[in-house]
Amino acid sequence: MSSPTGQIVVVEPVEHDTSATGDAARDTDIAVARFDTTGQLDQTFGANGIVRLDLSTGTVSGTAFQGDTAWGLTLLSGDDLLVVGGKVADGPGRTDIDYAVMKLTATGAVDRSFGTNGLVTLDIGTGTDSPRTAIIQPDEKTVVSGHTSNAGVVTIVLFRLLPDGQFDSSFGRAQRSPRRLLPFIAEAYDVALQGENLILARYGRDTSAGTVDIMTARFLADGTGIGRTVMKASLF
Amino acid sequence: MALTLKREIRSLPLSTEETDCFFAVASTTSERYYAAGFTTIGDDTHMAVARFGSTGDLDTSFGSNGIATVNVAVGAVKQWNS
Repeated sequence: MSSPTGQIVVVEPVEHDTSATGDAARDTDIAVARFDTTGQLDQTFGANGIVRLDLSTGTVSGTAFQGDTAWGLTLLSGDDLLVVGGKVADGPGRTDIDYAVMKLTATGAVDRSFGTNGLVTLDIGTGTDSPRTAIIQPDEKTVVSGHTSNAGVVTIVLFRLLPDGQFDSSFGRAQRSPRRLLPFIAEAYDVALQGENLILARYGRDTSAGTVDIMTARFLADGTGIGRTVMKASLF
Repeated sequence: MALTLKREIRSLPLSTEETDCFFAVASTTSERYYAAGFTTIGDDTHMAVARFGSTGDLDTSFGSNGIATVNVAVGAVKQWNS
């Protein structure tokens, strides 16, 4: 992501502790790095240009390992940032990922006035949530996209936050909009505004196995769905 | 501004023998654009950002010959989204 002033910001998951052994060596944090216009780390951001976020202690889940993860980065006014990622769910025995949205100031500090001490989490059941991207509406509300997986069924998720990081109770069902648009797989990867409506880019299939198709879906400004398209034709 | 699309693909080996991958792209007002992802050096992945000009060539005024990298977790192997 690049800012109007030319800074480049990158977010990625990184190892929590490279000296750890066993399963602990698989734990991950979130790292945000900012470069200046010449490609050098911006020393005015975080610690020498880097912010590390440790939201949860990773855990084994079957043959996989779940830890902090990041996917989306959204620029706010004043060069503040929203990081869209995930963390291990709180609670005994939980090994699934929840949505995590964090706000950083322009200097890389956690903005503790946002959500709860700078962090908003969304726990949709015991399935693993896959956070993707966020956009800022003209009214400064934030819409976050992604999907959630449980028992072989993947469902798209939209939720909307007020500028202070509280859930917008006027949006969707119980402040979020998990929608089962296909019987089996519907994964959302990005969201964009079309006027006041919300367009999702995604793919999915309506069978338990087989190929997937490119799809889009449109939601009204209140989070209710009004349509979808399926593109089965070859694009190239 | 008229935009001419043409089918042209260029590969960019950030490291010559190990895995490189871009996950995100962003444009600038000066017709340059950035691609971000990771590069692998000695089994250790590094965050990577490359800047391209409007012709698709690396902008060598950015980073080191057009590519900026940072190794946040030295000795680690996972730095892959952007």
